Amino acid sequence: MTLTVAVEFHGVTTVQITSKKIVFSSKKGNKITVRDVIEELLSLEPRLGGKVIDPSSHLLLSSYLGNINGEKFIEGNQDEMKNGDSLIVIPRMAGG
Amino acid sequence: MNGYHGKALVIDLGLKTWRHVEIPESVLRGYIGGTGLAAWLLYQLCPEGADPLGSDNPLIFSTSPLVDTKLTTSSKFAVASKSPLTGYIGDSMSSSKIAVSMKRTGCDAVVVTGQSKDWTYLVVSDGGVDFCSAKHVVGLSNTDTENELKQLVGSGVSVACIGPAGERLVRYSTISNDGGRQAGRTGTGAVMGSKKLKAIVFAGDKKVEISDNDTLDGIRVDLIEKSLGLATAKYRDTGTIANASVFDRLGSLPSNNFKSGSFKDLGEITAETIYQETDVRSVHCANCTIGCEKLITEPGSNKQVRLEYQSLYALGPLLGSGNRSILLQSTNYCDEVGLDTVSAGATIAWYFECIEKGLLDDEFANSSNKILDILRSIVSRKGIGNLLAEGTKFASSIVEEGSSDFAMHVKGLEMPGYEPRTLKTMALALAVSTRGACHNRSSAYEYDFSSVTDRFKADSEKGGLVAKGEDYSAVMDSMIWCKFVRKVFSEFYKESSEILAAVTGWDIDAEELEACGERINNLKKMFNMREGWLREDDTLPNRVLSESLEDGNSLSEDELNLMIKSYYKARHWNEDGTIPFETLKRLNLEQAQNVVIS
Repeated sequence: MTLTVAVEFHGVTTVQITSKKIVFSSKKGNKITVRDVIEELLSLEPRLGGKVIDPSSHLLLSSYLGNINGEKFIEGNQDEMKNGDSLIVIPRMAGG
Repeated sequence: MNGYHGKALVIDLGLKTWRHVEIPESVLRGYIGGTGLAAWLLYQLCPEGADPLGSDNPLIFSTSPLVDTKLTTSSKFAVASKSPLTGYIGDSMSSSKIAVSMKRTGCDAVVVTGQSKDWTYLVVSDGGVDFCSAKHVVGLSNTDTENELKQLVGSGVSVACIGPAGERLVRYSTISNDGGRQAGRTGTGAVMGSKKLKAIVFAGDKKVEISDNDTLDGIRVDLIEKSLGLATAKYRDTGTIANASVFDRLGSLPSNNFKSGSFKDLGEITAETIYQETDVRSVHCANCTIGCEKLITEPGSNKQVRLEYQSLYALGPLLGSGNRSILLQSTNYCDEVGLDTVSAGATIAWYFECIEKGLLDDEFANSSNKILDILRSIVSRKGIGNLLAEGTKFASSIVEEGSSDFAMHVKGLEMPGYEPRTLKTMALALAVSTRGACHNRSSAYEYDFSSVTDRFKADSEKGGLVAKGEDYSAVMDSMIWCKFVRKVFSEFYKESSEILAAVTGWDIDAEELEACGERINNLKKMFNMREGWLREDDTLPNRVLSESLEDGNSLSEDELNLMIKSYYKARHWNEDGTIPFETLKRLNLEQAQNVVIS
């Protein structure tokens, strides 16, 4: 089964990303984790490595937060994503 | 005493006299400095029931033990007074070289009382106070006032001044320093204006002793390194304007006077677009390694405008405007005349809705730059501007006809750019804050933007989070640290107490420092209770409690009350929000009203 998920970037200015929203399909079956999504994202957008994503751990850098569908903030990269989900990448909030 | 001068300078503008008064070491240790010390001085020196714009209301500038230590982000000061917007405690903060100049005048706080007959500026140095005629600078903008006085007194000095808004007692006017930085909220600029005090020039040269310079040197280097890491990346890279598109996506960007939690015309004013289409320059406060300030220059313009998220929200989406040029012009105008952008924007948003509902005439129907023209009318107090200069609480009480339902303030202070119906921890913090709708004295949004709590759920865990956030913020604002450096600490209270120990020589630990935060917040509440606080003051605007957002998110009065109950419990207060004697005693506050400074 092929899953379609999206990754959205908001408030990210440190790196020029091809598109604010990247939609891609995963062939890893009907269950994928945030780690899988980040891994695929990195292969599509290698320049995110070291700027937004830690390429060795496949985690977002600690200066960024991940949120699924605007509903749930994630810790680490083990949360599951379903077909049609969006991983939203934003700078870590500490005021303003 | 190390780290402090141990005294406050008290100036009487009416009598044109000044004196130094000692501040007991126990007070400095219990309230630290910044907003804590300012709150203590206000509690002592402001008579019960004082008119915020009368001669009795003291205007208090307070530094801290960290000022002049060159620790990163520590060049900050607080200013406090009874707020002309809320009638309760008002405090605000600003940064840069002025904090060092202020402290080098040989005191930890400068208190201005009384009222001058004629416009005055003060020159405060370690030798005393000069009272000078400000006739030639009245009516000048903040930049022109600062430049003029520096030329007159000397380029090495620092200036805190008010612009035309403060002179005309606009209730949300600011105090400006160091080239346009603002002590923005709660209307301290109007208090300064009510005293006919145009400016204070700080020109001291007296340094304090530090207890352990070697330890502090090591800490300084370590903090600089940490402050350049990932914890502060957002502020160095983009500044707070990054919030706009993030909040919009999360349904937490208030727009059109809080009718909506997102804004469809945001395109031109997101950080992403601003970085692509304009020239953005980062600026640092004195002794800061982060540089969160962003000066923006539009193509074809030579005007640099300082833009923060709160100004962007209040003079953009809140007014239904996504026009970048108008946003930058309005923000720059507010900085120059000394208007708090948040209160100004929220008051205009209320006016727009009054026009829409046929409650007030549109006096600007033919204007090509409506927002700027309304701001001008507020400062000149002409036409409807005279009413809008009073803020949403007062203006809606005059217009009536249900207009208070959409007057977006708490206790009189207008709402910042955080949508309470999708940020429930923040909703509670806005409702219970002693200074009104304030985002800075709790940092509660941080919990909502994390996996710690469910931001959509109004539950009883929110009370503990808000109390914890408030105490933490009170210590930050009293040490004083910039909020943007907070993530570099892994154990905030422990590390901060070690730094305070190195500066002062006190044997102070994390537990004692944490208790200072709780004490400061309770003292602020005591001030409000003395000035007539009622349980019903802890609430949110009717619109928030009665209307759902388009995505269905809402917050009922019952849900808010449940969270408020949990907050009072976490604070060890009575169910009606008053403070029991046991809590006062535990915090050594039971004698607060009897301490006299000599």
